[in-house]
Amino acid sequence: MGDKTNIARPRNGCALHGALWTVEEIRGAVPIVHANAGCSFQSSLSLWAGGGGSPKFSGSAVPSTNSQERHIIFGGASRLREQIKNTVKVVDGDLYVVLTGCEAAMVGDDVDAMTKEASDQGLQVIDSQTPGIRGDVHQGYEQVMSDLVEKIPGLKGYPAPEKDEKLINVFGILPHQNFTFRGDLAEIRRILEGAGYHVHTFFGPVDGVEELKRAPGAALSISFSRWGDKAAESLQRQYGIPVLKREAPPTGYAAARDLLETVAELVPADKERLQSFLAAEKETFSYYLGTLRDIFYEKNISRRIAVVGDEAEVTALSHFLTDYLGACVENAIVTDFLPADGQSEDERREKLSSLAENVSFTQDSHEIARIVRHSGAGILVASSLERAVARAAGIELLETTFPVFDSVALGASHTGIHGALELSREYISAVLRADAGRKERVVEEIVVGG
Amino acid sequence: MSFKDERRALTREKRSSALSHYDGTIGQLINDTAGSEIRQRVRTFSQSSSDDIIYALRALGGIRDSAVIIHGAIGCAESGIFWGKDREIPWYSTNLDERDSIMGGDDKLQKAILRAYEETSPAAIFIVGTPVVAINNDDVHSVILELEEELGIPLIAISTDGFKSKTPLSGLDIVSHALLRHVIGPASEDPLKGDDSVNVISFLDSGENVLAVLRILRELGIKTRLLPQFASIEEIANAAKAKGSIVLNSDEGEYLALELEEVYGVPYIRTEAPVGIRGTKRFIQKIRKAFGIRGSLPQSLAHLESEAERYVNLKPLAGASVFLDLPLPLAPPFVEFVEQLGGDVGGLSVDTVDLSNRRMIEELDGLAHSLPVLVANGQPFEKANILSKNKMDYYFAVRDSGAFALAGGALPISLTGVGIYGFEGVRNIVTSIKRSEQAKLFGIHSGLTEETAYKPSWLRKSPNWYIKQEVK
Repeated sequence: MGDKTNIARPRNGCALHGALWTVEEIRGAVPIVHANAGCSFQSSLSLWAGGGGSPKFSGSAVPSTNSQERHIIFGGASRLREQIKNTVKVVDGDLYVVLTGCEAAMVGDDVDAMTKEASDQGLQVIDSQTPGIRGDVHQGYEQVMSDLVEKIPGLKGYPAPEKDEKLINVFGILPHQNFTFRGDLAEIRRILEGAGYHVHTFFGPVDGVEELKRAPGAALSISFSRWGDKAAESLQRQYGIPVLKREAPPTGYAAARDLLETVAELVPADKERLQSFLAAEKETFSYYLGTLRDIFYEKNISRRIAVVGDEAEVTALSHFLTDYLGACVENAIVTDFLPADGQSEDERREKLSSLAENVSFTQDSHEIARIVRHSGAGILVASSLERAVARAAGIELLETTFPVFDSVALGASHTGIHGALELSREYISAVLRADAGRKERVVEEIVVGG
Repeated sequence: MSFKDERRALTREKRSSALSHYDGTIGQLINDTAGSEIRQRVRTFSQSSSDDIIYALRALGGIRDSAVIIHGAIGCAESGIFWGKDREIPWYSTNLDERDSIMGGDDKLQKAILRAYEETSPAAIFIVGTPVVAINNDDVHSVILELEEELGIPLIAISTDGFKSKTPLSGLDIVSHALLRHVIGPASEDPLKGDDSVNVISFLDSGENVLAVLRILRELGIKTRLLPQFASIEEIANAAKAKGSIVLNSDEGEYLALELEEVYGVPYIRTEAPVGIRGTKRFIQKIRKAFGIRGSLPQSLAHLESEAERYVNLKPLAGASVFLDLPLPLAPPFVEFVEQLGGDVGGLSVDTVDLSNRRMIEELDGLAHSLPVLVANGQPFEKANILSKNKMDYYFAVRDSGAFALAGGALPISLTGVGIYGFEGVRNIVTSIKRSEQAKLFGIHSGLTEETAYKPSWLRKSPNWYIKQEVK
């Protein structure tokens, strides 16, 4: 069931927010929001609640038409035209991306015409229609990434890129919605480059608009969640770039090896380099994991857990915690979904059933709390919105998914080899905290009495 | 006719000619706001900012025992993550989609109300309007009529829309209006049934600032009723029984205080923001005078005052030029305080100026008339422009981080999480200055001192380039 009804304490922003977070994180790209003043500001507030870090064009720095009543009554296209023209004069950027909110969709502003008018003059402007009534943050990422790869080649002066037989595009990891997206993308880049590939992650300190322009020259696109499929398929349709769809980013050595071996079947790698890289990664991974041997067995680290997050996050984390750290996933609670798509949900439920005893699809915080309360889990891997239920139920909480309060992600990752080790550190620390709490309660009962 | 008789609060623009788009000098602003109406301006380039919905959500989220339903698309409730970070607020989105935007979302609203009632047993439920509902003209009141009697609690429509006002403060007026019409009851005619407390009206002030004022009032022996922030519905309902109202930030709370005075005869005791030693002393004097408190200052306050003087005597802003970005009611005492700390105010930005608060602009008459002044919600591009032309040492920001100021050569001092009211506020502000000084290398190491988002050609233009007279 998709969440078509009301939602208690919603965690997902709307499509405009997902698109905005995406554009904000692309170096050289400038968002231009066509909506009322607060639409984009709401998403910045939710970012500030956590420690994900504010990009250059977030909060009050986002160019926005700040639509007023007259633009609703008489149409806001001319205001958008004015805003595009002036944004290009004021704000430094390589690409300007118009993102539309609900009002423009409801009153029927001709956004395409305004964008075309600007791009016909040689301005690097494209648009993406992302009203909140058409979906949540995930659909926003999906829509804008697909629009970016489709529309950039249509801009004046676009240099068709040369084919790079080793180049891989990475899609499906969502800025901010995936709390550790910067570190995860850096780790995916490290792994693929380690095997000799060239990588476009589109976000982070290295990539940006230039990499988006070169995306059609890639040899492969990898989509690490369903939300990256549309952009990857668009490149496949237009340029014949094959798509590798993965259910989740790789967490742990086995998943990383599987990824590289699968990629190598599609894009030939230097076999010696690949094997040598994998051997070194395995050694590093095993070395650090091996240092946990005493604590792992002495403390009997295996625990019953519940995992909350986007499907790709739940899949990656559940796989790793089960396979490597002996966790038993009682409940997998998936907070992204496709609206009104029952068949797809059945397929997803079946896949996740191999990982968890119980699978639920909801982004409703009260419903999630109810499931967690009855889960019997000792460790909860979720967001900060689950703090209250974790506290009330005496469950140790490991915060991994948006929103995460009072914490900064910087380059932290839960992906690949380094990310898996970081996740292991966080998870085992949570188990140890839970045990320490239990011991304190035992002592308290002995000393104070029941 | 009382404001209360209106179905919804008028926007600030209609009620008091609120101006939120202006760029000039203090001398020009005093002239331009002197008449019976303030001429409106528009920006032809603008950046994102808060709106009436966000301010209303923040205000309603501060009420202790109510539930809030955001009647709109899912993203309209996104700021709840921020407002609900430190306190779990019963917060629901009707999650309207494209079909609802055509067919109406009444059914979803009804379900959300029933659910909020069953799950949280609230004393009242607020239904916050959004653009989708306003454009579609959804009949929220029919749903309320249908359910209110059955549930037996107030179901209150907050008619925000995000586009009728350029001033987010209008959202607080809409909330105030709704509280007056639906929550606050008449005072009993029997004076013995009144109480001896004073309404302390606060909407957006930080907990630290509220606490600083409550401490002062408690030391003076004044019984307080804080509202609407941190209050229960019952406490708000009893507001008309108070013997007076004071407001922590007049831009935010004066509408409610004036209405309590006009409708229920609760005297509005005008004070100024207790910022700096002199500002705090004037605040205390006005309160003491209003309540006929005589004798010397309580020992504890006298002690805090002498502590504060120690911090002021450090003169941490000696010889420095300072840009202030803060709500207008804070400006006069803050300017005075900066001067007491040894600094000079070299530029000023305020959220809004209207007919009710322009006297505060007049209070700034002592500043050089050529001082750059901006009236803006956010709009850092104009602030960056002013900083590029006017060398400032410090940039004080009350609403945000001010990090962009580094590129303009000013050291940001953000007071968002700092209690600035009262004598303790003096210590906190001085400490913030010292901490910023200590951490100034961060700006260099992180590249922020080099990085500007704006084109050099814009920085060379006049900062009011994109502000035009509004054509009606």
